[in-house]
Amino acid sequence: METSDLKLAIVVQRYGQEINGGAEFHARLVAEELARHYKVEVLTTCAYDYITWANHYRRGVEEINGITVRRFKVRRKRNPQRFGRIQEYVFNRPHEPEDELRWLKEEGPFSPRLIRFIKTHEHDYDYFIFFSYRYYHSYHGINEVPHKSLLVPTAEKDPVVDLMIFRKFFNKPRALMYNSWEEKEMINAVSRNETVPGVVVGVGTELPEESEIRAERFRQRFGIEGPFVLYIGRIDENKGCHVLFDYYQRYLREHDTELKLVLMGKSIIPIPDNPAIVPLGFVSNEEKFDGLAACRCLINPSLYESLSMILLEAWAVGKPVLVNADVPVLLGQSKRANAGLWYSSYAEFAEALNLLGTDERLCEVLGRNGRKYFRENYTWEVINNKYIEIIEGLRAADLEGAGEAS
Amino acid sequence: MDTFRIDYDKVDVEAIMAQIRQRVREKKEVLYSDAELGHLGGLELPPSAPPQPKDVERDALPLPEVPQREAVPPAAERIAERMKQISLDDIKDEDFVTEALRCVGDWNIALSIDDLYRSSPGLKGKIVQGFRAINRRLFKLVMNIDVIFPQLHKQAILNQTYVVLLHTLVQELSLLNNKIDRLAPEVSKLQAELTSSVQSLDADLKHTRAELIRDITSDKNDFNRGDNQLRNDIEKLEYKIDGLRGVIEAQKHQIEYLQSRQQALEQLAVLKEGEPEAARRKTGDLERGRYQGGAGKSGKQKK
Repeated sequence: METSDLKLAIVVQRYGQEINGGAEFHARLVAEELARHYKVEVLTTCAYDYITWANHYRRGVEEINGITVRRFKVRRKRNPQRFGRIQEYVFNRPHEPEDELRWLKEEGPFSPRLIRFIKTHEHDYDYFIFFSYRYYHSYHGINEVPHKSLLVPTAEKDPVVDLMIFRKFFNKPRALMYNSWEEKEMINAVSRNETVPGVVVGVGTELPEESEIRAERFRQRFGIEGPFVLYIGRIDENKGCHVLFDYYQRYLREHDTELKLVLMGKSIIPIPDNPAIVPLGFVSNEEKFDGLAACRCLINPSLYESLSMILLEAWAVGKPVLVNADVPVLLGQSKRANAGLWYSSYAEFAEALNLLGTDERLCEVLGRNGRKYFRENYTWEVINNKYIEIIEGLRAADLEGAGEAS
Repeated sequence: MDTFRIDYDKVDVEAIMAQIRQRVREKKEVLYSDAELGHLGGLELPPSAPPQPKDVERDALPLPEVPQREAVPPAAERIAERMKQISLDDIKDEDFVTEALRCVGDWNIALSIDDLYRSSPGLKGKIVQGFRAINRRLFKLVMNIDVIFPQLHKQAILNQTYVVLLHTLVQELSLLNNKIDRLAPEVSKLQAELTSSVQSLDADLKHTRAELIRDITSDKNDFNRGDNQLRNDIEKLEYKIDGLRGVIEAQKHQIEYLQSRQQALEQLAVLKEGEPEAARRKTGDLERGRYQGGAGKSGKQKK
């Protein structure tokens, strides 16, 4: 496709190569892919830490992987105590929309300069693509330029989505790019925004060449023998890791098995001292894919997800998954791909893990299904086409509107 | 329980999950499978019928042999040690009852009447044991020791029953815990939904209340406006009515005037009947010119 003269602004709370967190990583990949077709700039804050939003990067303009990035200072760091108090209030008590706006300001990243820039430079960009509905930049940014806004909500089923201020908000952008069908259904239900054009897009992933993925290299490097299941991500309560540890240890007590649990990622909570649980810490992309190729299946016990990229990566290398059925997105993804099992209790976890741990043929078939699903829905070509279709559709409508007006 | 039935050429994860859920349900419904029950049934349990008092001496309780005291620590110590190690998971274990019955002598009452007269195996012990044997019949005269043993036997049976009961209770407890684990996310989900509904209802209520107040205020203003308009209209009508009254009064005056004029003319006509014809005609012309119709007609009729 030829490069268009359209200029897009990707607006996201944090941006950088070091930032691997869900929506931010998603935004970077989308920005880099769309830059092949359009002029793309990123508008973001100087924050690196998503808890405090403390200024970390220099204010101003820089270039990352060929993309121009404009950074704006965060005026005030988040105060966890004050934020916790107001969050408890708006989540659990009767309140007014003004209270929710105060909550949003406390949540941050509070960067009025970024919003002012969007307002004053509205005419420099054809469209603004906002990532993550729940932060200050999206709510106030879209309110400034609703007629030029596209929103990638990355919404999860948590109390935030039910807040009053977001009911009208989801009706304001020109279009919404959802990560999953479950996310679309949830947002439609809370805001009745069916009339706003919306498409389920998801996100692609940076896959190495198939020939570069080597399971044996992973086993040799980390000295892991025998079958194992793999968890990839931050080792945290929000990710359901405490439940995973509990269930897995009970499973070990009740079953005579050699199946190990290998963990990849930074640990926030203590990891049980059990020889069958192998923490590897933070690993490289190469090691991650080698590990995926070597494992029996991937486990995702997460409690909140808008789209599990790690599931897509497991399927991309032909591995089945075992997921927490209480998260509709994980359940929906596994069912649609026909490439994973799920659990909502220990008994189901034990049965499903036992089946995946012992039936290699089943793992192979499920992995094949997953790979097919990934290729049909989540390659960058498919995703780019969806973005381009929406953007071109908006441009055509705008040109038509301008023609009629003249 | 059956193994999974999977068609590898046409795998359906929902069908596999249905089988998993079925297996979980089956496990929860049955505490012991048929095989496990058969295994338990095949175990040789101690007789439960209480012996007759007179036989107590020989076969009080056919419990396992008393362990060699020199080789192992005393039963009380072993039990205490075991109690330190035992956990809920051990009690929940399917083999717990089997294991407990196998080593029943370690923990249950295992006392026969002979034990009362037995002593240590050494020379001193043998002397003491002989002395006790001599006095055995004498003791029988002093007290009826035999009645103790049927009671102890009952307690031994009760202890064994407690073991099975404990095992069953722990299993039930673990089933309930599983159920609680399973329901916990649902409960939190429902709580979140409830909170959200309450918030939504509260917001709707406030909104409705505000709308109602706005409507009432608006209606009241409309009413006030209508009221003023009505008053103005009434005042205008009153002015009109007053005006009409004036007109009516004027008309009345006019009519009265005309009537009086008519009377005057009639009187004039009566007076003129006696005057000469020319003068009468002149008067008649005058009358026609002023009052066309009635006066003329009457003139003609008179003519």
